[in-house]
Amino acid sequence: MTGLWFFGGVSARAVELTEGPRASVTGSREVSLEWSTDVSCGSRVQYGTSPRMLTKRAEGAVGTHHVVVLTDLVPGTVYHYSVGTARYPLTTNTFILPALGATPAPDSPTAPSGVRPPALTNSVPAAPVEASRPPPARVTWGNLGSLQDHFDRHGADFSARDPEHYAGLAWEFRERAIRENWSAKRDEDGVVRIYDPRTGGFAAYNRNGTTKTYFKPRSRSYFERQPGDRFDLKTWKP
Amino acid sequence: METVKRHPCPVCGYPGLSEPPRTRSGGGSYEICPSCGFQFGVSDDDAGETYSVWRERWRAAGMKWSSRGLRPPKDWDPATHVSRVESEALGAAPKRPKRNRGA
Repeated sequence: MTGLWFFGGVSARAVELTEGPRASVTGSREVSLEWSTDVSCGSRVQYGTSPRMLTKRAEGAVGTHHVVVLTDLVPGTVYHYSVGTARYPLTTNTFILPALGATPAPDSPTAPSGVRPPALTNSVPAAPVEASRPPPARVTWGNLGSLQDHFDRHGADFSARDPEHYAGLAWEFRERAIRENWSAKRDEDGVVRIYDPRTGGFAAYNRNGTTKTYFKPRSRSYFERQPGDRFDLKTWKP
Repeated sequence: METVKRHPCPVCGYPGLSEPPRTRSGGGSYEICPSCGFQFGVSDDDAGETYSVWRERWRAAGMKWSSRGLRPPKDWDPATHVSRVESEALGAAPKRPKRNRGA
């Protein structure tokens, strides 16, 4: 997804994620996040133990390959994070820092020297480099006139930077749900509802696959209370 | 020329929703009313808001057009729309029992 934005007559090209993010253990309480972008820009990670509370921040150098180390983490904890620049978050993800003793730290006597630290158990795998770019919102969003209002209401749940980005995230949510066969329901009108308990994301799609809404419910039982029968996403052909 | 059917908002009476606010299966449409801002299936089912409380809050705030993506139609008349939905609500309410005169 690329756009040209004009600020005072000078064009500014949007930053795009080209690889990662990938999380690796660098110590018992330390994780390194790596990602790449198509243009040189700053490196910022916002993270926390709740997807709605990314209150901690860590920064790295300017460049196209970004490495940011998160320190003072709590072993055995799920962390949610976003990576991007100081202005624009690019994507969100989650990792689980293994409990003490579960994974040898690279400087421990048991870890052979020169061995790259193992990758963390990401609860949500990072998107592959060749992942499809989302189609434009006019294709993926059901009622295009309503997109601005949905973005205003729910865009912050996903650190979406604008309505087009928000619609793209909803499309990517759908695509990942199909690939990984997440929990889904379909009702008699053909509306498909998908929920990812790992990130708290919920989306509803029309029969033709276009998005109705995408947000993070406050209530943990929200998805269970939604109508529809359990539905195998592998059989869905939107 | 095919006419697109519109549906009234049960909160503010705006007659321009693109879908029925509740589906046949009982779920919300997820549509955000551009007039009052209520999102069916979310404002109620997730945030626990009721139509009447939302309506009163919206009325107290001046009944402003909520949507930033859609403009109000030229004939948008929030006072009339609210009055209509409230009249319909009263009409649907159980009638008081008649007084037993002369008993």
